[in-house]
Amino acid sequence: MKNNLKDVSGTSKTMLDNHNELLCAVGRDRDRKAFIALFEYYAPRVKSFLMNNKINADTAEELTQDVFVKLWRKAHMYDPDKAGASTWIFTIARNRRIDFIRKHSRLSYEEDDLLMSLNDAEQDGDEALDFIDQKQKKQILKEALKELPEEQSLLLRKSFFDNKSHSEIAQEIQLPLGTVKSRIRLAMNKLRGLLNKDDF
Amino acid sequence: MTTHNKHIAPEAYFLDYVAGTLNPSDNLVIETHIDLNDQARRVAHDYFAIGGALLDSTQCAQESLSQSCLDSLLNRLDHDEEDADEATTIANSDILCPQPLKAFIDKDFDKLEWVKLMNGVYHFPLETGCQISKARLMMIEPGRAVPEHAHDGPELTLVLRGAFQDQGDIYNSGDLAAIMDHEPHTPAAYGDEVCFCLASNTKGVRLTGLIGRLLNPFIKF
Repeated sequence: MKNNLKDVSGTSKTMLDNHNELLCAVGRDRDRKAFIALFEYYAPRVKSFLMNNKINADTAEELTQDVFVKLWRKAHMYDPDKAGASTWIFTIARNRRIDFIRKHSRLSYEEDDLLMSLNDAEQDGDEALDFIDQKQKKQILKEALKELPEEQSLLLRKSFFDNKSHSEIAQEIQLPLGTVKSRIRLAMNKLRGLLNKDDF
Repeated sequence: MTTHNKHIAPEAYFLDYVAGTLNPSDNLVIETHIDLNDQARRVAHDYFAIGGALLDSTQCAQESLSQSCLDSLLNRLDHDEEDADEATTIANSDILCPQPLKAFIDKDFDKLEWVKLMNGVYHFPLETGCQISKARLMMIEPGRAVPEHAHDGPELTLVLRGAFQDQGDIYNSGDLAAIMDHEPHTPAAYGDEVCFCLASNTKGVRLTGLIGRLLNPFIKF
């Protein structure tokens, strides 16, 4: 094995914490230490995201590997001014999950197009003026997620991660569908409102 | 900030799109909407960013991986270089249509085998393999309208080319009309151009006008 895990300790602590820079280093320099640092932080989260009623632990682990192979291949397309590393990794994991679940149908959108569209997302019109920059957005979301009431944040996590419809979630936690929907709506309005202050 | 465009999909569709829980037909419509409409793309981007923040959050559940997982992954990377540029041949790249649709049609819109529904109104069913919702392309000639009809479930209609008018609103390319209720409506082509749309109906379509009710047994939407 060419890659020595212990090398990671040589990289500075701040660098390891900056996921965006790590992903850039993977894309620019094919930096394996950076890749391993991203893997160690995100792989257990990605595996948990992938596991659900249709995907067992072993399969989730294989798919997690696929996600990181994809990350390795596509990292050169990553633009830290347009999306956080976590958004990117989430997007790849989400596509892998959909692709796996629908293996008999076609994932109509090419992976690259979706990743590139993250780069395009902010380029319309004259928004440069009051466009909240990517780093700010990431920080805002991080804080906001912490402050959401648990009843909302639980449902938010479930709707993004559990691969279930809102009615299935309502059944599982034994709440009326209307309550589930309105809590999710409250949470989304709060988060989206913070990201687009002028829109709300 | 860009002006508000009310002709984008309801928020719940963006959440389900990003979470991956939309049925394949609705998914195709939303994906194409995001491809064509800058504002929709911006909303979707927010939802992806929220997904990313959830993944990064301290509350995110974690599942430990087996010891060998990283080693075999790195091993895969070592052997990856040769197939890194695996033929990502984009199907039907020369067809003039939004990217997400290219997996479903192999000709330009005007060369498809359109099925006539009524004078000036045609459709072309798309094979999304979806049991819940039917996806189809619609073609409405200038000055023509779809007879008044209603739905037993939600209907999404995305304008691909041209424009249509419904309930007093005008929908242009990239705009999406979401009809959630049972309210009858009469979409009509607007302007001099042929209007091409992409639609997904969760349940059947019922013609509700007088003539439509007479035609109902004969017209299969």
